Amino acid sequence: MTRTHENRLLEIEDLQLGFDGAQGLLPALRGVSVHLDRGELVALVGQSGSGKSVTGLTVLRLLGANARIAKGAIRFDGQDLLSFSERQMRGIRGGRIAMVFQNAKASLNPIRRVGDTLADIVLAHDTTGLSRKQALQKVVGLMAQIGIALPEERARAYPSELSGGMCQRIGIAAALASDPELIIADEPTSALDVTTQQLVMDTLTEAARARGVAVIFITHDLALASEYCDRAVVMNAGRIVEEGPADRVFTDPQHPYTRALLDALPYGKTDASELRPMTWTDPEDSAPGAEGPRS
Amino acid sequence: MLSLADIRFILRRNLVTAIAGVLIVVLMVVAIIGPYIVPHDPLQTNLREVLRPPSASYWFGTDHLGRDIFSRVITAARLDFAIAIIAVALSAAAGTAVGAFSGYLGGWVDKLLSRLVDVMMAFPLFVAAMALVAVLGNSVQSIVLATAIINLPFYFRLMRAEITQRREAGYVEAAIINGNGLGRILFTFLIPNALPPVIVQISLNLGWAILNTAGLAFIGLGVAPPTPEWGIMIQEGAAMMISGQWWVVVFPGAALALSVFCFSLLGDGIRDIMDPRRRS
Amino acid sequence: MTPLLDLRAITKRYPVPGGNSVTAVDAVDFHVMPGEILGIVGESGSGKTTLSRIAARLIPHDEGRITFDGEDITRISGAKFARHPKRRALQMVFQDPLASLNPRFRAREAIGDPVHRLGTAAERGRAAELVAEAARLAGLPERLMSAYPHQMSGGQRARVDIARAIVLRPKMILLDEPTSALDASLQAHVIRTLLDLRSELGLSFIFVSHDLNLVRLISDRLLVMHRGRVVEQGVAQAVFEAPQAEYTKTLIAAIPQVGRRRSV
Repeated sequence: MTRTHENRLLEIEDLQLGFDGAQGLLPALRGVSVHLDRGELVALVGQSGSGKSVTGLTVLRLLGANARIAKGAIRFDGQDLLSFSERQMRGIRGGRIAMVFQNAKASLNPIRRVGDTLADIVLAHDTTGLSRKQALQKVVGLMAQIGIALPEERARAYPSELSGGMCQRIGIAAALASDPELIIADEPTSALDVTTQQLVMDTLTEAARARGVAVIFITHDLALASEYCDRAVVMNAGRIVEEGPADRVFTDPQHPYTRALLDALPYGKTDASELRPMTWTDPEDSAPGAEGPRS
Repeated sequence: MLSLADIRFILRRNLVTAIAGVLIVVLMVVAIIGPYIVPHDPLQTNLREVLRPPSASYWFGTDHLGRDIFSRVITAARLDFAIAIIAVALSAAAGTAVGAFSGYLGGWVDKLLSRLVDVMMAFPLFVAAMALVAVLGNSVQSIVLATAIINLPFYFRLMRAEITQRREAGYVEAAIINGNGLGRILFTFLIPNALPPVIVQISLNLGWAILNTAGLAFIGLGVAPPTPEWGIMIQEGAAMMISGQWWVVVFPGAALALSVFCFSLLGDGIRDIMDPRRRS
Repeated sequence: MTPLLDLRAITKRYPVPGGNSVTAVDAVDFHVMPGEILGIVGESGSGKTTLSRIAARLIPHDEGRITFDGEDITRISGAKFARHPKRRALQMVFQDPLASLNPRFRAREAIGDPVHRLGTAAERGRAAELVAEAARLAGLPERLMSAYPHQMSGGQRARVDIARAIVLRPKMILLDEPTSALDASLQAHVIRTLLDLRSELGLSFIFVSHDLNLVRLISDRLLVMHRGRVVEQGVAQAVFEAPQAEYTKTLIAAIPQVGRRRSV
């Protein structure tokens, strides 16, 4: 089903993917279709092993050598990313599609000042012939725009001198530095405290909205998805079980899996006796999901 | 300790380690039974057969006193291996125990022991070994002791680092909650979990210790002629290299190199096997 | 009724390079009544982890008094307390069971360790029976008793850790983020197991967590920590509905809620 949609930025169609392992091919995605319009914030929500991170990494073709794509297409701005050469992908990665990692501190070069790291990104994607000094100025301006206080001072700091929350916001600035059209944010706040989490999520979503950048927000936190995203896609065992407006999906879930997930979580409950362990299993999946080894 | 899956893993991914392991077993067997199966008496001089090149009756040729080099190379394996193994066992046991104790206790005990070890490591190892042999007296026991002492700091540091890192591990806290005392925490919880890198170190170290023993003998320390020993044989043969009798030095040299090489390969392989993260 | 665990004016400082020290826990008072669940919440660096380890007698504190089960245990060092008769009554369940289980102990040995270390001669004699009973209570299947930690799933390891904590029928268990390594469904399983155990064995809990949604459901009373101090304490439901301290207000406002939109 190929639709022409002038606003369509990304279209993942019936993606089937597995990993080669000692026990043969281990399926990770069993037919995933997701689409994303320009400037849209979409959450991929699921428990560990649901395939949400694999989906995000596949868009950037960042999976290991043992990943096998059996079927499907990933169209970004009309071009099939799966047909791109590794060289062409390098132009896309960190350029038109940027990434925010769970642990930005680890993803920033520890022996370089963060301003320099960000200026490198600006220069790598610059076509107007900026000088290094101008690139640094642009970086400081970018940091100020996303609400980082004392941007000049922070740009001179090393990652180890900054708090986890600050590094995460620098990571967002790094993602914005290449003027991307899409940001893939993989659990960008799951290592943070709730008050810092709020700040980082505000920073990310405000910057994306202001620039019209689309965001794929990968998370296990249903509430966070519902608070910040336009649309939510619920995944389980490599399939999409439900999708819809982010606030609606979790207040009026249609699929039994989403309902079971909400029953197991504390939201909206008044007593712990209301917590219900999940008994729902995918009817197409013969393996029991409740107590199996986690991937 | 090795399961079937481990063995399959070694053979599939790590054939080199398997070959090194097999070679070491062969070398060990040779070291043990060698003296009983050699064709000639390794000490028997024969002035009519001086400096014969390798032949059917003298496989590795003969040296300047007409002794059979093959018999001497084989007989020497036992002495070199014995010195290395005993020395490494001593330093591994002592270094590991003291390092674990120091790392777990911390505080001034740890500081004192660590500085002491730093002082030991400040000397070039081979020079330190020479000095120790000079002080302890020129005997095989001194070589063993000197080799053990100069290796001690490596085991101390390794174990201390492992223990410091694991001291606050969840299972140590759980062990305290369960009522375990210091001794049990060290010997049941910490040391067994910190052993894998020590075992790797032992294997790498054995090769080095053999080299060290031969090196000391080469400069005339520890073992004295006419005892068959690789270092002495290399020393005796070195001069003959120039006059064309290459076999006098090449065969003991090759035996030495092969042993060191095998232990190093085995050490690398063991590191891969011990660390399940490097498997997938 | 007297409190089961009573901590008064607890202060703990950590030395920092340069001769100074930081105060991780600053003059904290709290108590837990028999059968009560006290929730301790706070962000990283708030001192909640340090406080829970002091309460569990794992680390020493600098000032203050600790009374447990009618006995002043302030002066007993952590190492001495490991062999103290009260040790068995004050147990702990850890955040990451993969880290807190000895990798070289099978489930059976891990659960049985406290029996051999702290049990009476009679208990040691029927250790196997006690271990089986604790495993049953914690919902650990019999077939896993010979498994090593790395052979188990996260939920199964959590159950081994719980079984280990209850095998000697303690009076109080400190739960340090016991479900933060688990998926939603397993979290619900483990929480239900813990609450069932509490009613069955008459336990008291201290539940330390950063998941305020979960703490709200579980705790009777709540302690909110910020920078080493208790900024607010009270009945859990009341604190959540009408927080008094500014920090508590900020904290509660930041908790993500399903169905609410942030204005961006």
